[in-house]
Amino acid sequence: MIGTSIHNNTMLEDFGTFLDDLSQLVLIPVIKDIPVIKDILNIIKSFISLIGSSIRDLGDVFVWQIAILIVFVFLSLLVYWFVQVIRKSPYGRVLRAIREDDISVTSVGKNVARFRWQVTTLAAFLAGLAGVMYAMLFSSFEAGEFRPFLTFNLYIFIIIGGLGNSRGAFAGTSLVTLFLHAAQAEAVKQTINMHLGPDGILIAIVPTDIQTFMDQYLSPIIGPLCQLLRIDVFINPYNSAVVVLGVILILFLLFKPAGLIPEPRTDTEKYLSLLPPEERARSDAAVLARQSLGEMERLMEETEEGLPSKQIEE
Amino acid sequence: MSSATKTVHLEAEDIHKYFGGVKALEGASVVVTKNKLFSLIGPNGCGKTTLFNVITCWLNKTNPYEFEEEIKIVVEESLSALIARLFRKLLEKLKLRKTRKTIAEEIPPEVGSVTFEDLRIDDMTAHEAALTGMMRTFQTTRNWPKLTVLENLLVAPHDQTGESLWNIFFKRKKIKDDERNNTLKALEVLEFLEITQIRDQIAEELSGGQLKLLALGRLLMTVPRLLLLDEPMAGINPTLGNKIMDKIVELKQEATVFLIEHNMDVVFNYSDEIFVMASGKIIAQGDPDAIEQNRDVIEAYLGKDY
Repeated sequence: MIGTSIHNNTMLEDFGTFLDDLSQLVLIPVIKDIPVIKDILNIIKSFISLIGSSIRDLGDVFVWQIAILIVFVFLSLLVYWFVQVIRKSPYGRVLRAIREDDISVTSVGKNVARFRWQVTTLAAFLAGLAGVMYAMLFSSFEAGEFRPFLTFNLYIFIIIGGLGNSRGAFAGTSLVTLFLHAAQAEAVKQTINMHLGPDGILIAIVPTDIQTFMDQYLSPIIGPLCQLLRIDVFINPYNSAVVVLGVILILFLLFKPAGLIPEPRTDTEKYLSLLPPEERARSDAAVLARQSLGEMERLMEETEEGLPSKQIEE
Repeated sequence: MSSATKTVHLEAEDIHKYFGGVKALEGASVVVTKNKLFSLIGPNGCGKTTLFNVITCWLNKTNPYEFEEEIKIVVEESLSALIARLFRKLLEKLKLRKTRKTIAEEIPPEVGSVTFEDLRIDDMTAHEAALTGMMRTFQTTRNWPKLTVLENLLVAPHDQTGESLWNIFFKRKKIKDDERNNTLKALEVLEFLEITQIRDQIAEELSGGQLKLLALGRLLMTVPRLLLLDEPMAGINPTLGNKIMDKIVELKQEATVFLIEHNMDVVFNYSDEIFVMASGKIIAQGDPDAIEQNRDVIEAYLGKDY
């Protein structure tokens, strides 16, 4: 049973045709005639049908693959829970303090080296687990696939997703991986590409108006220019994915350095809710009372009787 | 003997510390007695902070005899002898640390010791020394900027249940009780220092004075018996400075205080005893009145012509 495959993917194919139908529906007849909207809708339509056709392209799906997928999702949720428990515990608090300043953590009597080796070991264990899951995806592999560039991918995941929390790491990893895999898909490569060469620009993208515009205005200039510079390149998602990713990364570093999901600001509610209600109320009242005072009043409260430094000067 | 040693809290004897050729400490000795406020003053670069660092085990003290021997080898013997010596030392460090003392001619005479409450602490690491109840602050305030003030205080208590990975998952009840008690203590400390209003703020948003108070509060979370404060008054306006000093004087009932300070008003007004340091040595010691009259001190601070 486990080894049986779902032949012909009837279910998936149905889903693909459903998406195709959906893309037809997007073109609502009334606004169909407005040229700009028509182009935009066309692009949307092409993308939706692209997803449909790529699902059709998946090939045979085995039952064991689906079973393993379910196990992996369960395992990921377990790891997420595990990491969250550590994060919210006093242990995680010390780890955050070490990240901020390890010297003062040592000065209050914590063995920083112990925390560091423990958490590094734990992180390596979780990375190993992820490696097992990753390896299951391969139908074949060679050693050359694990080039050092893979390391930089991880940095990109974290920077785009957001530092210091699991949700950010998950968001970054899934979005960037989706982008990289989509760029490799044959269907995408066929649909979106551009040729820069002696004939000018050839664009294979859905709104044909763009191509006529190019032929009319840009190709007469760019064609000879390419001939002069001896440029003859195909630009498609597959060979420019890393460039696009680099641009996205730079934009993130410039305008959203904390990532898509920034580290949540810690609040004291967690600790205060542990207190008995009367203590809690007393502390809250004290906070409010002192917040209403000005800085000068706060300082003078205690030292009204006399300033010792002035006595010395006399 | 018993009555005399019981009042002695910290004793650092004949401490040397060389940074390569720079001799930062040359036989400095201090004796600090219980429940008093001691000050350490001296011109810049005379080794005050280095002394604190050696006492709290952040730096290892130098044995001057060993140091001289090493210099002699570099000057007189070959490079291979030096490498052989370093290798032997490494082996000793790795497993034969104790047996070294049995080979009589190899041992250079031992110099310097730090004793805290009848406990030799000079071989300890910095965090072990802190666990004995000897807490310090730093010249530049060090806090954890992304944590709230309450969390800054909650990190500090020693030996919390929740600091072991095992306990996080299997002793959740006890951790909760611990956290409740620590939070109550933290609120008490905030009230004592009169900074209750910043309870929920993150440390990044605080002013310099509040950061100094927070650093002091962090020490109070741990029930310290000896407080080593490195310039608690630096960069603070006099009114707040006096407030901080009043708090420190209040602490004298439970703990001994030993501080480095450049503000002479504060030092002479609040100290029970003052140590004066100059070029790595303690040159004078006594109560504020005696120090004020001392010729050596005036020379060290203002030069011979004054």
